Amino acid sequence: MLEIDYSYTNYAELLHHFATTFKVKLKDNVLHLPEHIGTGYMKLIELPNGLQGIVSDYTANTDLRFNWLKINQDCFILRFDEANIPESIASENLQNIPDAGMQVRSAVFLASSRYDWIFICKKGTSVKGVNILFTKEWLEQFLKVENVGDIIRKYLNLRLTALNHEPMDVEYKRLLNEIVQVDGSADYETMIIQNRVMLLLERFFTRTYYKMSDMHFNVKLSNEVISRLASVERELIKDFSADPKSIPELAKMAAMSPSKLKNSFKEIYGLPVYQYFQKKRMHKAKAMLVSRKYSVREVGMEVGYSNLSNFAKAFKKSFDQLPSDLL
Amino acid sequence: MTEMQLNKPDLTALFKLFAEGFKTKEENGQIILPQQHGTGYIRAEHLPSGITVMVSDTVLKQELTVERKYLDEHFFILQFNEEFEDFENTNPKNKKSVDDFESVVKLSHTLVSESFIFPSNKRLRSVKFYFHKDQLYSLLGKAAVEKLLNQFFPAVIKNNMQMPIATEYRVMLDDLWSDKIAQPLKLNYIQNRVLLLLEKYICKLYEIKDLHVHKIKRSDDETLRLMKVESLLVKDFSVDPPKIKDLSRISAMSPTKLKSDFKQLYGFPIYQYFQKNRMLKAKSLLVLGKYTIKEVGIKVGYSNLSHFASAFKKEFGYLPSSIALKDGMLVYGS
Repeated sequence: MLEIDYSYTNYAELLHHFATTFKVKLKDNVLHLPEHIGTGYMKLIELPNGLQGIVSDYTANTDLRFNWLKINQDCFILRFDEANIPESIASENLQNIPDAGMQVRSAVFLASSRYDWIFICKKGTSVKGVNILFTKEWLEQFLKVENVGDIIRKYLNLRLTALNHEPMDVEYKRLLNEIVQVDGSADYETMIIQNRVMLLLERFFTRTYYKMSDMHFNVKLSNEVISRLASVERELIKDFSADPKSIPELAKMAAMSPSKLKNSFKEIYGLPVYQYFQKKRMHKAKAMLVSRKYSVREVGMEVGYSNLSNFAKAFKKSFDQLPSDLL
Repeated sequence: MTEMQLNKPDLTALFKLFAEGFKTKEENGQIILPQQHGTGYIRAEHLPSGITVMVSDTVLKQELTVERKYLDEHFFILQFNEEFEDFENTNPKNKKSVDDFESVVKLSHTLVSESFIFPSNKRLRSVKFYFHKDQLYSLLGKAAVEKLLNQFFPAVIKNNMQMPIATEYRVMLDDLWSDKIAQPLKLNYIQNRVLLLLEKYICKLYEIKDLHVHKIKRSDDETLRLMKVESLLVKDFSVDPPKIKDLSRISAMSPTKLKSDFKQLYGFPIYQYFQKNRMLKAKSLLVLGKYTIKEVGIKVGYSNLSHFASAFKKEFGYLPSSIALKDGMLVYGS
């Protein structure tokens, strides 16, 4: 087995690193694998919109193990891999692979640079893949124009402990194949690659959003625990005019320890208990204000502020405007 | 007749003019025409790449002309326009001849003044977008941009070359013209479709060797008649397609001439073209996740589900059931 450790946030450097490890030279940003490693290539793509990617199409002639070593810098790697694993290997049970490791198979997954992960490609496996590297800032640009950007960001914060994957279906495969097939001979072909890469991103994040909007997405908590949390949530936002219940009280209600309550609440609702309470409270205040049926004082009282200037301050913190601005 | 003036290469500015002119409010980047002016909607967006796009589907009661004077700026506009008779409300007196029909892709430049005409009592569906020459650099390599700016685009504009709207554009246009764009990543969704339209257009220019020979003149009656035939073919898949005999009458061509000319212009024989577009339509309905396979089958004219499934498989290589729902995937012709 050949092991390759790496953590590059620049794909040009990464490909150089691979070339050095495999003891071959790069030619026009293409790495042709030497016989003892595999048959095929890895190719660097640099898109005009600032994304970098590696397109690969090869069959491994030896067991390969790629170890991503975590770094203290935010980057995301979106991988689309279509793998063809020979029967004899597919049935083999892979042991001693840590949780964050996976055998190559056809999947789409998003990895964060902050966690270790391992990618294993057994001898005889054919891989067609596109890896796209983007920085946190790039993703921020991408999401900030969209209404649902916040929600997706929340999902990424919540779920992206290590790996995030979904099966690759025909449409993903088709886009992937279209990217791999572009041979780069015509000068307009970067546009074809870039458009398809953007379609892959659109699709991945659209699906992420749909998973997310089902709320109980993918969590490891049982439905029973989720329903107890839901009752805590209802209790919490039932009446804003009174002080919220304390964490120990809520924990008792939900029949779990305070720390378990705090952790699982955050996982499902995306915010710590009292931040969530505060957010809902301010939204209620805003809804009442825009209805124009109540004075600022009445609204403040209704959401539990006897001191108007505290209310105004809290409101401004949430919405960047004063309650009186809405009247 | 109403006239408006557009003073900058920005379709969201034109959109504001419309909102003022029709005295109506925009909601979510869309205006619905008030009844006294007509029916339909107009949408515009400023996309993350800086491109501004306008999508509309309207029938106006009074003709509207938007004049865009010469501007000393390097913007291009690409337009996809499709005009139909407004079958529901056609006043027999106003019946237009086939010559007025239009279903074209055209490119123009801000250095030349132009006017956008929204005809009266005719349905016009349009997608137009302005892009700056520098925006091409975020799409294409330098060599390709230079070729476009120095050779292809000038040739197209000089010859007033217009191309028919064919299969490769239809699916993106359909996505953009859909009643409501409810995608979560709305701007990226629109932008990806706009850029694919541009990509297909550019690829087409690369394919056409001699841009001078390939132009369609407005007066090129035969081409216009073929466009009419094409639009009749893809208009409604739930009913049987028109017969060659009927098409040949409508286009005033002999069946043989119609068949061979159609194939030359659109790349496929008439019924293959119909079938291809029908299956693309089916696929784009399926990915919406709103309809069952059976409903989609019926919408594209298959009452027998297994015929539908096998026709689908023949076109795409897999069954309708293997399409993942609700993911807003773009389906486009290759």
